[in-house]
Amino acid sequence: MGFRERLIARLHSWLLPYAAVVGADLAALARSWVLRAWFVLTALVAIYTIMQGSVALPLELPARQVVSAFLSPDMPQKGPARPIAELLEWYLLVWVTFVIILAGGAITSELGVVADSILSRGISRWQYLMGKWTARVVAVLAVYMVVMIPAAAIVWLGGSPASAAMPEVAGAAAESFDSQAAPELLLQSRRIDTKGLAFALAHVALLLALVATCGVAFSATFESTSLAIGVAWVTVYATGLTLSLVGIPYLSPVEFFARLPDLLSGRFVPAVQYWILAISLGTIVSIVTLSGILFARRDV
Amino acid sequence: MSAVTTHNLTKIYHNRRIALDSVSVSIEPGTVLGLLGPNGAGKTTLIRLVLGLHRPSAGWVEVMDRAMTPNAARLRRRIGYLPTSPRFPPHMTPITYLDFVGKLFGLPAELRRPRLAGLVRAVDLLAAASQPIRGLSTGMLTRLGIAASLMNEPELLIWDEPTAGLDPEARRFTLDLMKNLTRERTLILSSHALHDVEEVCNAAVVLNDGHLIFQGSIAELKGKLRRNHYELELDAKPKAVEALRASLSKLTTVRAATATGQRIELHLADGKDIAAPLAEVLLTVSESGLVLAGVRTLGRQTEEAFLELVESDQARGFSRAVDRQAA
Repeated sequence: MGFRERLIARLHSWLLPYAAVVGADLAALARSWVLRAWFVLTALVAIYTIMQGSVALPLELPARQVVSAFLSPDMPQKGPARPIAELLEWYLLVWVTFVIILAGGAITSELGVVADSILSRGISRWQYLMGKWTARVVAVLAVYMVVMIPAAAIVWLGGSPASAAMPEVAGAAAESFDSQAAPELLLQSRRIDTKGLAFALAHVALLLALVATCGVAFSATFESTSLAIGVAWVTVYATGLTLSLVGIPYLSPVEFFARLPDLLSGRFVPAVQYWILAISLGTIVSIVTLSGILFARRDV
Repeated sequence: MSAVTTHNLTKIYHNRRIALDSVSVSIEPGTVLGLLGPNGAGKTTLIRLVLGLHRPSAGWVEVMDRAMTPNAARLRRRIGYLPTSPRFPPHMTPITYLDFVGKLFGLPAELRRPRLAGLVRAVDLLAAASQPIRGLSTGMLTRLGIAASLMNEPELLIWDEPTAGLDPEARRFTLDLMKNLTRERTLILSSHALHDVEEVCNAAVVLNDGHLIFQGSIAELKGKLRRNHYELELDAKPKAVEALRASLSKLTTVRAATATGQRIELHLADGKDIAAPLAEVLLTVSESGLVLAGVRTLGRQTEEAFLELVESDQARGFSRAVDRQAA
């Protein structure tokens, strides 16, 4: 057997147990009531938000009002970029709790008897952890994309009758970009920049992946599911709050929401966006590596 | 080559509980080893350390002369493990579960599929092969666990309480399967059922309170048995039996004699040779004119020996610690 064949055999031998864990975990997640409930809720909120954007429904969900009040109480009620911005806020402020619950039980819920049946086989701790992490991130991103991509497509293709009636707003927004009212005006703009939309979706996808990674990392560290979820929840929200209070440029969630109008209307520097994505990816890789090292050193 | 070697293996949980204390054992290939000990003795801890599920606090474990670690996946591919009361993903069927286990062992499909088909047949699960696992009986689950432990055709089998909770028929099936399998493999069988160990194993390790108190053959374990406890069964009236008891208790070789109905229980004096005191007892019975219906030793042999080991270990307590310090 040549070097190439040996390499392929070795790779196959590594990938097979990893893929088995990914497949089994995705199958288990597909039956999870938490995931199903989250999917239904996100879909309902997306439909409601899009409907609200296009027909300007006067009603608002109580939770949404709380989030809106926390973010920017003076947000405009109309405009095609607004539903996208709102839905992304929902993911980062509310749905992350579901992500933490889904990811926080990844390993702790299987410790003991079930883990015996898996980790006593020909699989390393790394393969197991990577398999669990992959499955949880894929499940979270699948729910996110299944809802957000059609929602974004609808808004991007259809626009809003309300905003169509005020084309002058876009120009006003562009002209007064530095003014206090610029974000609101830009949100009311009819124009959504494709690249900006892709960046916004990618940013939130990576942040959700980062939160899922934190959940899996705590799940690999603690022995109790509720403790892992609790610590992950406090860490994620406390980190978000701290970054917002300190006001670190581009890393604060509040600043991200403030910049969303710019992003969606195409007023951004691509290099900065790539850097933000790279930082998120780097953080994810670091957390996975650290949790892998810790998980390989603990009893199961 | 040694199948399993542990050296001064110690496990302390959370710096509070010593589950295993400096255990050194060596298990040769082809050995069928009974791992014995009361609840909390450290049997499962020892197994989990051998499998790399736990990390030792001190000492080391080698399997097939290679160090066992949590990431030693290639080494674990040579081991088949059946946990106590195995639990399975309830939505899977025996076929999908065994396929999953085969993948965990890195087996390609062309090896995996025929092997799982053969195992499903061998453990008599053909009729339930496509049913969800949640509907299987305890016996079926154990058989599925056994099949899973054999998916990789392991050189070393580790079965933790495989007969626990089984009905007599399922227990017999499992024991017969074990006898067949051990012709070509090393087996570590952890069990409370001493008669199972006696039937299947040729060697034993006894743990008590985290200490190794015996390692040797089953014959050696039985050799530690008190062989001086007998029961005489007589075909006579209780008064005559009582009179015989009084005569027997006067013999210097009899430590104690108690009569119950038509039976007399005898404790003979300690000594290596049991034939002479027993002959003296039988001669006295013969002289009494009573009809001797039967003579038998009391207690199940392996169980007695095991309990004696545990009792003596518990009695040693402090002196053991002193001995170790002196050594």
